[in-house]
Amino acid sequence: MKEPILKVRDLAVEFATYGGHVKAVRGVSFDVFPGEILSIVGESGCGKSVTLQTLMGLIPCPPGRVTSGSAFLGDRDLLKMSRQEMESVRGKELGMIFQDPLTSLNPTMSVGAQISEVIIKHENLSHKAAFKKTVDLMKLVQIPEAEKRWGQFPHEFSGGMRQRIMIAIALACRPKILIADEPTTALDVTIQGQILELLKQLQSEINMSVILITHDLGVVASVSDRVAVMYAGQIVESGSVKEIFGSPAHPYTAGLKSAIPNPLKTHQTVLESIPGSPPDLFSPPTGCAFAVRCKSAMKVCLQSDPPPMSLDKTSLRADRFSKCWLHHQYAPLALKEKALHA
Amino acid sequence: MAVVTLYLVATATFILMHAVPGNPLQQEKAMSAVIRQNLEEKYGLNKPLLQQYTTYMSNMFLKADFGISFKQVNRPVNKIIAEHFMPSATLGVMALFGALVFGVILGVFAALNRNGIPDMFAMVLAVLGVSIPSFCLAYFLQHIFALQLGILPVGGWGGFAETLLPAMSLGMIVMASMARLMRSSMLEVVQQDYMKTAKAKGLSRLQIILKHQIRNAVLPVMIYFGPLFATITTGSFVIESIFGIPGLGQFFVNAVNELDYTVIMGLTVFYSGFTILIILVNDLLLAVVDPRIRLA
Ligand SMILES: Nc1ncnc2c1ncn2[C@@H]1O[C@H](COP(=O)(O)OP(=O)(O)OP(=O)(O)O)[C@@H](O)[C@H]1O
Ligand SMILES: [Mg+2]
Repeated sequence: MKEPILKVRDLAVEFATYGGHVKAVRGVSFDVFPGEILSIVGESGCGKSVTLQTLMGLIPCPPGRVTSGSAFLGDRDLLKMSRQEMESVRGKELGMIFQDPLTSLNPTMSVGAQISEVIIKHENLSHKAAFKKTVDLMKLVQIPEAEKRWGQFPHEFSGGMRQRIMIAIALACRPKILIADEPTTALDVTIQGQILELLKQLQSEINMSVILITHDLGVVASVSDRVAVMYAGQIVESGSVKEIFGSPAHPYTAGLKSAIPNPLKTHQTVLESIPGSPPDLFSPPTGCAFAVRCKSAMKVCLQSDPPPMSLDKTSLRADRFSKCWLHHQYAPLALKEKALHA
Repeated sequence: MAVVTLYLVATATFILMHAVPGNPLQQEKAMSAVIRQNLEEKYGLNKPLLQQYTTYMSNMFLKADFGISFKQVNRPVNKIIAEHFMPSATLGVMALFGALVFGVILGVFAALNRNGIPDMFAMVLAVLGVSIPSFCLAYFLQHIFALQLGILPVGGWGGFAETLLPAMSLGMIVMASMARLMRSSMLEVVQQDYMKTAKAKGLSRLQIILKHQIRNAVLPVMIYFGPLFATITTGSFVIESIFGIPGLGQFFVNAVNELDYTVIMGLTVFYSGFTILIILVNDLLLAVVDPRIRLA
């Protein structure tokens, strides 16, 4: 087994608001291995963005606060770094792209300048060398006529082209990990495919790891190696793509999977959905956060929060688990069958 | 566009001016009928109003000739403007430029220390600046700097020292509004996604503030810069008389009191033209700093 390059353990983040403390992330642990694409899925508000922005040090504090946890990039804890150390990691070892490429680019700076800014910051190049490198990067992300478009501004580019610029910025210094927070949500479908294709191709060229946040299970299935499913600030199931789609081990994952419209079932008229809504993050329930929406909830589910239960029979892998009481030896087998093989 | 605006301003002034009762030849001293007739003939006041209007307009727009003052014997309005415009312009430019520089600095300073003591201090200053009329401020500044401390002259015109107090009195309102605008604009830019991108690049706090935050925050402030120029010029009439500055302001005030038609018209049109020019220049500048604005 390869050594992970990023080890996140027991990360918890909360926000102070007038309504109380929002516990946005509640004890998240995961590993990122070299050269893989890890997808993080889950419904809106479950804490995906907050988790990854915390790693980048982008959470505004206050109101945000990291209440526990560690995130080791190699042998350094991202959460304990000084501001200068963090600045040397951001853009160099960790790159990030965001959902909306229009608002994420500075409207009054030429795209070329926005790309070369990172290079100049981290690589001590002359402006001329940085210009050349920027043009190369623009070519790498397949922007036609790169030299000519260097001096143009974000509003002169289409949505897909802007996201390519963002990718060029994030990849300028060949980071170890690229964090992509819903990189295709704001783009139209045909462009989505192209951007994902580009990301996947660059990922193998540069041999970096990608953490991909998305709502779109179709995207997850087509590009990722491993998947973490988040619910109400926790990772409720994790495993390889094959495991997550082939044998989901958490009722929430099973629900997400059946919510994908199936084009083969022509008689299907109503889209399936998971009834109910996520719990209040001001005061999360003592039991399983999903219990109130779960069709197979047992007595224990309402009383105590399930620990992550390993599903790997060899116990060599820490990343194949489900946080669900159904996997406990005392859970009725019939219920488990019904919940997970629906 | 600019010419049409100017034409409308001139026409409106002409109509309003003639709607005011009285005429320039009215004086305390009784005037003999013959003299009166001669004078009316000289200035064309005996002609029908419409003809006066067309003669005046054509002289002004075609020959750039504003005519001769009614009250200051044989003095052409063009000459008045030529001789007295410089002090007014110097004062206006100093006030405006100072207001821009200090307003922006104050706003940036306040926004970066949001809700801290510096912010509170800057905003109290800004509220005072907006709410104290410029002539009150003028007397106040004269009292402190000229009478109490004795470091600046009370009034007059000549060197750099004389320009400071009037420019401060004049520019304070503009500076205060710029500071408030800049502050809120800075705080708005902080929320923008591209600030997150800048941070994610690993740029230092100073680099982010200078290259990304201030650069974008200053744009909305610049939009107000041109129109604020009008505020400055109207204020300057009062300030010039308080500080005894030989600018155009005194002529305007006297001309209105004495219904000196040609001077009123000349100065109004000249000032409107100048303001339009400033706004135009401002727009051009804006197009340079904001790439999203296309020059039509
Ligand atoms: N600055 C903030 N102040 C207060 N609460 C916040 C702040 N940022 C995030 N939150 C809260 O943290 C929770 C998680 O938000 P997050 O943005 O991580 O969700 P997400 O999973 O990325 O959702 P989406 O799919 O919609 O992007 C939400 O309940 C949100 O209200
Ligand atoms: Mg998000």
